[in-house]
Amino acid sequence: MKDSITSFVSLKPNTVHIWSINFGVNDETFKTYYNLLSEDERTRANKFKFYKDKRCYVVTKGALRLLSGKYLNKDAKEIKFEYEKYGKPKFKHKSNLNFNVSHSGDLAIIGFVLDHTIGVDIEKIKNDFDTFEIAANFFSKTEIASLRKIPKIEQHIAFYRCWTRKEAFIKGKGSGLSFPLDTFSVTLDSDLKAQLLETNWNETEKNDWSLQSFKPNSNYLAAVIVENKSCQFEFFNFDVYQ
Amino acid sequence: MVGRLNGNNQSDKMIQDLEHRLDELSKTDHQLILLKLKELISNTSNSEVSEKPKRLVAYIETEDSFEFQKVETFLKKRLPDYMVPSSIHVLPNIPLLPNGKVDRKILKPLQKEEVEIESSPVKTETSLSEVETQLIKIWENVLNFSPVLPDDNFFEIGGDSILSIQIIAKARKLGIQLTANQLFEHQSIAELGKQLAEKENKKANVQEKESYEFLIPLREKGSKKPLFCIHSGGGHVVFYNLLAKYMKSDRPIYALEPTGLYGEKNMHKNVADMTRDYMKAIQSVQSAGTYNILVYCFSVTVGNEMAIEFSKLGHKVNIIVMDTMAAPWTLNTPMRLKARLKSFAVRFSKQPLLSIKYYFEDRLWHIKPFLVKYFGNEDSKDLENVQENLRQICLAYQFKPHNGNISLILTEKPHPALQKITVDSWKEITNGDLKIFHTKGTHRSLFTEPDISFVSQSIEASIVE
Repeated sequence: MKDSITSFVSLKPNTVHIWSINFGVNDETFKTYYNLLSEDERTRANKFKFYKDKRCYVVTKGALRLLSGKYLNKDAKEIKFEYEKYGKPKFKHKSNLNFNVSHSGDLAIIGFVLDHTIGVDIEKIKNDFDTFEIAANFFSKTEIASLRKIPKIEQHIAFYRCWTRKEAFIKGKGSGLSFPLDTFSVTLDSDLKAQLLETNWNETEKNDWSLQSFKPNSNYLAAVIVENKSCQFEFFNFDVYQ
Repeated sequence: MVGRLNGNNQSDKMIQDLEHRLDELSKTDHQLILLKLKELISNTSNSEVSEKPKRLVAYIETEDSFEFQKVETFLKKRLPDYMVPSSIHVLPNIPLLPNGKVDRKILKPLQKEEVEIESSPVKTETSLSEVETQLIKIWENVLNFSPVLPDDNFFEIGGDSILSIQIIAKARKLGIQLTANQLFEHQSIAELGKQLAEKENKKANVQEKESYEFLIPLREKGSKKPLFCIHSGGGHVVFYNLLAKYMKSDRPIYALEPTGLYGEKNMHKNVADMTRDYMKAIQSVQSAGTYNILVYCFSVTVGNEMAIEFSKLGHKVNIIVMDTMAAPWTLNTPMRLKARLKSFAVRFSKQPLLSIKYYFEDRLWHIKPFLVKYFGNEDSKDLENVQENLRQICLAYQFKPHNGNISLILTEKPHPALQKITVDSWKEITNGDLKIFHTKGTHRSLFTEPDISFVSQSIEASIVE
């Protein structure tokens, strides 16, 4: 990686850095990333049935190590991770730097923020499934009603807006899909206006989070949420700095 | 799979060529090749009569030496794992039939000489349950490849969260009640199928015993001994909910609620009948002692009866009594009254208004049912009818001594005499062990935050594994 990256890695409080990473890399780069991984991570990588899934895992983990290393001023290989109860990873050593990772298709995103809890989600947009079949099972009443109001041609995009925001939130909460998805609502009618609308277990919790949607490229939709009433989001493309 | 590869530089070049050619292929060509391969695989496996799991073997003819690793890496990169040969044989010449086709008969014996590669037994399609077969179809459809094998791990064959919810939605459409949690905990078809079947069985068993109506699982999972919490005089059991948050995460917790809450007519007419039904319900979850049973206010009567009845069956019990004295309504001895008055006086001097409110609220339990009987709506009438019934049957209950063990959890009391009276009341009842635990908090807020965080620790400490 060029040194230019270091100018971006000073992270200020109340600022969120989102990196998007294309893991369609060549063999050489793949090897470089693979060599950054721990024993456990390599074992996990070798369990994937398909090379594309393995590559996704290896490149994402490798990039996470490289970037974390820059932020923490540590050797990428030295960084140790541990997992919360529902599998949310965090740094093992004490640090106020938090991160969250997501991947889909050929892209991964990693969000970094100081002091606050963060959740991210990216999805490659597909339209080979019935949005309402899933919405009926997993969305809140408010969301299903909003989805119905969307013109049919945009429903898949709206579905992904809703889904990425919801998943980013449950990933932020660190509770995984065990969290009842119909107990909170997000907006889904616009890319720009991303907002938590209701959190049924605690009426005011919705005000504690900042939510943002973005498009890493035309076939993808992503969302990031931070437990902080206001913060600034900055986006970077990892590939440029490789 | 039969191919010819040349050695050294030539093999490198060939691989490059091949890669190049594969890259140039259109999507349809790719699919065609995969289809051909699949056909080839299924044909060969059909023609082989073998008990062993089918494996794919490659034979390669080379000139001089060639880099085995390179070929292997190439194949692994280009093919899904199940299409990568489990062994590659290098032959000086590939045996041919006079018509130029490969002579498989000569190749076959070579296979037998190979060392068996260890692999776990794979379920054959015939041994799959209906649910498993349906799930495989759904997975193949959503993941967009086949075959999915029963032991494939969802997250190792390309599954992710959005695909998981598509799978769940499709399964539910077919009537398979699958949750996201189940899929995350049991990540292969084989495990999922087993889990779903167990759940089905359990449901059928419990329904047979007709005891499910009393049991409200607050947490079903866990390796530790379950805790059973009997409802209080208020009837409902929602106030126990926080226990699931504060007790150890691997301890199953069940609450028992009375009949009549939802308008059923068959309310228990006495504590003995009630206890018998609750014991059946408890035994449907835990077949033998020690039973850890938590009782509070009214349910000390059920706890008392349960200690007697479980002992008769030869089971050990640990009745966890939450800050309640034995026979609180029948033994109003002068000494108890005196202690209560003193305690009230202390409370009154600290918080006069609140203590009077509590005094009336506590006693309102005796009067309130009558008010609601005449003025309440249907729903609250159901609840009030239950409460009135509980009040009557517990007042009619006679406390009897038993050999069961008691863990008494006491909150902070304004007057020490009241603590002593509570302790003494249980000493009179049990011939077994009486263990006493002191905890922060008050009787009224035992199960609410923040008290529950201390109280749950005492409960954990009192449980007999």
